[in-house]
Amino acid sequence: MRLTLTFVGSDPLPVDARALRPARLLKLSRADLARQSVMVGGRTVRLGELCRADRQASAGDGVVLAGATARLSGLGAGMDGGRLLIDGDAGDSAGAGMSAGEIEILGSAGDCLGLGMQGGQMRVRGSAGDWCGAAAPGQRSGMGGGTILVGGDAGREAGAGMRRGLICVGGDAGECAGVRLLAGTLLIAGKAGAGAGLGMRRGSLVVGRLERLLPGFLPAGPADDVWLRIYVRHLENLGMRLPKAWLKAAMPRFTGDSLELGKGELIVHDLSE
Amino acid sequence: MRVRGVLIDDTFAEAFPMWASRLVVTADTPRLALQAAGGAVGLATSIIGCGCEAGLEGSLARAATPDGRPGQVVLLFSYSPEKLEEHLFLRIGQVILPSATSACFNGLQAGKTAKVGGKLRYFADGFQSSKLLDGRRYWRLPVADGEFVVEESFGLGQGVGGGNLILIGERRLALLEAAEAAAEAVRGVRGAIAPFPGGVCRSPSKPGSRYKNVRASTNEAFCPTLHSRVATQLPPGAGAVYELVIDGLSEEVVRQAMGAALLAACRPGVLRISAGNYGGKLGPYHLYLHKILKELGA
Repeated sequence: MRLTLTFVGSDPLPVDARALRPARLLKLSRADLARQSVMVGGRTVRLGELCRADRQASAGDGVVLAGATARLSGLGAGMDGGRLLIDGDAGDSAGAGMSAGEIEILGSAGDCLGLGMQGGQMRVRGSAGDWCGAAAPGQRSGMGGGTILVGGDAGREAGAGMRRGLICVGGDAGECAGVRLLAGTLLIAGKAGAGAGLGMRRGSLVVGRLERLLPGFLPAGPADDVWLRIYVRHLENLGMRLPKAWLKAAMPRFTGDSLELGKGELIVHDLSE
Repeated sequence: MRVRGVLIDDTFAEAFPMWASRLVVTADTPRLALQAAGGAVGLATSIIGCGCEAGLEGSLARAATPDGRPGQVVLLFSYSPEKLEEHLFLRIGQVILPSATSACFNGLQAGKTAKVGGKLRYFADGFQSSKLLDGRRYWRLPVADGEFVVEESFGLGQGVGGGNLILIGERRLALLEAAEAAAEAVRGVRGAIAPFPGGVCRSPSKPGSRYKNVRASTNEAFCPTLHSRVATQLPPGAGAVYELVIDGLSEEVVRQAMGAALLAACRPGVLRISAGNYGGKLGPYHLYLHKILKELGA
């Protein structure tokens, strides 16, 4: 069964949507759904006052959120299964700490997308804000598993402290992508901002274009792209295309950050410096 | 029963369960992939002397390989999962790993697995790294032309070994052409191999020997040069015998391969086609030649 919640109204206050997990919502009756309470700003509001619900038996499983979705923060946070489709933009912290399931955002996402995510798949057709797949406040480790696919750009510190998993950004990324990377894979098809890979210990950071390399990165021969080809194939199967030019000629590879453990790799298709 | 003039014996090939593994070997070019995969199936004709039987299932287009490069599929069979794991480790480590530009992936999803890449990684002496993608771990071992990528675990599934055909002909050359056509037909069946060189064996064996330390010996009943000295199984005028041994990932695959080989082998110069069995005491799969041909409408 598919449940569609269409959010109405123009109240700019953010809605704490952490309770809107697909598995739970699908079990609620229409009345219980309307009675479900959420926090809006500092007050408790019934879900029925914010949206209207429609159920379709034949439209496949999952929950669709439509309408004024940009004010919903924490969508799918802590999700451990099911499918959540956001037909619009999402607020901050979508999919934070999720461990399984699938979230698709047809618009753009706010900051802290997939913060501390442990598993599952997050797909954003538009762009993502800062700290995508990064560590939650007070935590050293960022994303610990799963996949984040961003069709557009990502803000600053994408994959900060990432420990496992895959982040793929179809456009550009802001400053300090992969900062303090512990392991895992961060692919940025476009340009990465200054400070890419700062303090990374292990893991792989592949970028389409970089203007300046940090001094802690040392040349480590041409990249052998077999592992990257496996990722490209996997991402193609997920409908995400990386630049074909990446696999046509060996890209320069660097290891670093030497100021940390230095076992990370930074592969750059186009190094401008 | 006769097919295109060739007498088909009313007998069966006796096949038996084996443990099977399937490798996808890729490289920068089809030639390099074939070179690596071809080396990995060396000295793997008979389980009796080699510990495993192996062969090339066929090539894979770029679109069908995990890394989008040209590939070859290798099938390995052995009598126990432990022995199979030993050969996977040996053959991937000693042949595929050193082959230029190669990578090796698991091609068989099975309940039981062997950690092969997970052990081979130690060759990298601490410089190994891994990637975990979609539940599969790939080890990256630095080598002198870049990196050798090998999957951590390989599936160990149930296969079937011992499918066979015995081709009897008047003259060696014509019979060899028929045997090679039959081997080519086996290569056309996915999941099946004929592990002998070129798919053809000229030395059908029998278990045991008059010498106590010899586990298998020549099957004199099929040797034309012993025609006058032993209880021969050869018809009058027979001048040569070739055997095809066929292993596959299932009984059905072996049956299909035997059928394709049978039809391909029925050509001028072949007097009779038979099959080897041990009276039904060795294995549970009894692949009757007449039944196979009837299923094919021959």
